[in-house]
Amino acid sequence: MAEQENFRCLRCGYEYSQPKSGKAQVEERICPKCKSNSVRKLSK
Amino acid sequence: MMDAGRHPRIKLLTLSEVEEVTGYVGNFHVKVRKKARFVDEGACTSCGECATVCPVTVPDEYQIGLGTRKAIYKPFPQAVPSAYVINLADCLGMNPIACGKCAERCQKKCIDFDMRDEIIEFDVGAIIVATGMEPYDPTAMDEYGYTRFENVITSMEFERLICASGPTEGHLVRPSDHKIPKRIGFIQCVGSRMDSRGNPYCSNICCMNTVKDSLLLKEHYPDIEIYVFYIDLRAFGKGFEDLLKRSRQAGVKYIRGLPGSVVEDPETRNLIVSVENTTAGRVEQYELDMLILSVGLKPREDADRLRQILNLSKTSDGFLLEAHPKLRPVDAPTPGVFLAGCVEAPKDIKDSVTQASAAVARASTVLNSERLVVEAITAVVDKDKCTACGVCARVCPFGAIKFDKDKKAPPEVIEAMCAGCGTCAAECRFDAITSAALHR
Amino acid sequence: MAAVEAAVGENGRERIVVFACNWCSYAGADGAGVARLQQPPNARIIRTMCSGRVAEKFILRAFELGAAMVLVSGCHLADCHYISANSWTQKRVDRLWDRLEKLGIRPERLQLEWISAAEGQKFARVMQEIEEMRKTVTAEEIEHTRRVLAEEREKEAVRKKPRVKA
Repeated sequence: MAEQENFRCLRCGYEYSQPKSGKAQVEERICPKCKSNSVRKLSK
Repeated sequence: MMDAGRHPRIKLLTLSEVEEVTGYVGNFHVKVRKKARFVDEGACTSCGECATVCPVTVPDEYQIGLGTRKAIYKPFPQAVPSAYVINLADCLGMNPIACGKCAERCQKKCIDFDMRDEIIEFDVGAIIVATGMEPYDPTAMDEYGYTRFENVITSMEFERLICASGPTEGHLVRPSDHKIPKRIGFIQCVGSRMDSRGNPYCSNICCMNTVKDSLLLKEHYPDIEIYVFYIDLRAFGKGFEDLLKRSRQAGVKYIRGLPGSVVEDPETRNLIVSVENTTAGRVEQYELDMLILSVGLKPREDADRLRQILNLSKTSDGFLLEAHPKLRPVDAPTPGVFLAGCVEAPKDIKDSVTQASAAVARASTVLNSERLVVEAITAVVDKDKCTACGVCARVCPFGAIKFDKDKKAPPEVIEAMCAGCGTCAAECRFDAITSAALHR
Repeated sequence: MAAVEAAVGENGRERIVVFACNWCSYAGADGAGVARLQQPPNARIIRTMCSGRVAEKFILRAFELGAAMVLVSGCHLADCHYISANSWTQKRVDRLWDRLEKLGIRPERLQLEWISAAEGQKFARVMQEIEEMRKTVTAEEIEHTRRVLAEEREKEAVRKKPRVKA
């Protein structure tokens, strides 16, 4: 099971989690609710 | 290739590897390691006497393991330079000389066990990267039975079997019993267009390669039954649709669906293929004498080393990144470096040659300019504030900042490589590097 | 820096400071203007060559001078004109969000958006959303921010005093 990462959108406040992507490159974060890129990665 | 080898203004360095490239557009300094051949290129006449006495026999890579060669060999008949080479790993030993039979036999005395690798250095104005690709290895696709079932081969192996100078002199024979097959299947998109294994992109050439192969087979063996299992038939280029039509007219059957399972009949070694024929809307079974996996293309395993030497980026498919996908398709983002052929993306011969011509034209622009226009805004280091931490050099996407961490001296910005993005200035904690990339 | 000061101007409480990259976001913003899409008039756009150029100190200075909201905008991550410079932008903004929170400043006052040259509509929509958020920023909040960041800058200045070279 891949490691889960937690995110909070700073536009609408929505919180969600996603499995950690294996890719080395930085990936674009898109809030599933409001489509904003202002998504903060929360440390556990 | 022979023309290139003979041309007075082309210097061909074979058995060579680029070890280091420093400098910038117009002024690259290149270090190449020319590996020892152990045979004098100029003197060897390719008479082949040495190979007849060599005691070591190994699988021949050029014949995809379907044929053999000796430890001293010529890679293929048309090789340039036309000379033999000793593979150090296969030879019984040179230091001390374990066998030495080839050197004894050679009448021109051009075999030299004391040859060593040579480092060659030179300056160039532009660099074109055309290091190609590799075929996909379908062993991982277990359901097709490659390496488990003898009569399942790849399209590369097929090319060798059908080639007049190949291990079977152009006769298509089944690996298991050496009989000529009566029913053949081609499975398309092996290792391409999939998310789970292999690669997600389309490898460009496999559809047309199979169409060509099917026509070749029908020419050799008019009564052979051919089935092509596909998802789409991509015949987009000049003359391609016509070729596809001819293939259909010759009686080749195209079935829209990729086989779900391949089972081997233990007695006959035939392959029983189950496939959902999506146009007919039913599951079908085919018993075939031989199965050919139309493998896709992928970036070379050793491509990363050259990438790091030249500071080039990859796109998500693993091939090299071009400066702009539409407007600068043969430029690498680094000024003075250009791309051609499959190193940039899978493509066929015509497109590779077109790209090569384009890359040369672009390189000529560099070589024929008296002066080069570079970015107006480049980064500038303030030596008083700099603490030689090296962060700017690390973050630069263009590798334009030279920093020696042992010297502990302020870094040097290579103006010709700086694109003016300002990332270095933003990351510097000491305000020691400025970039006028912020309009005042 | 002068550009940041000019952008915030006198009335920081009304101000949305936008850092837009030359190749994508600024063109996108321009597109929104050409299409006459409704946008808050209190925004000020600073054009940089790349979002990677937007240093932490610019963003903090904007807040220190009293800006209510700051937007950093650049090319989508795979499309940066300078290859990968915008990946540093993401990391930097991540660090800033942590730092703002630690200083008692609401991190959502700093927004990040990847906007391409063709996304004029997205730019206009994002600006409207940020304007709605700006209305929730109180004068007290801004005063607090100005004080805290001014103190921070003092501490930095002391720390960064040029060392006497032996």
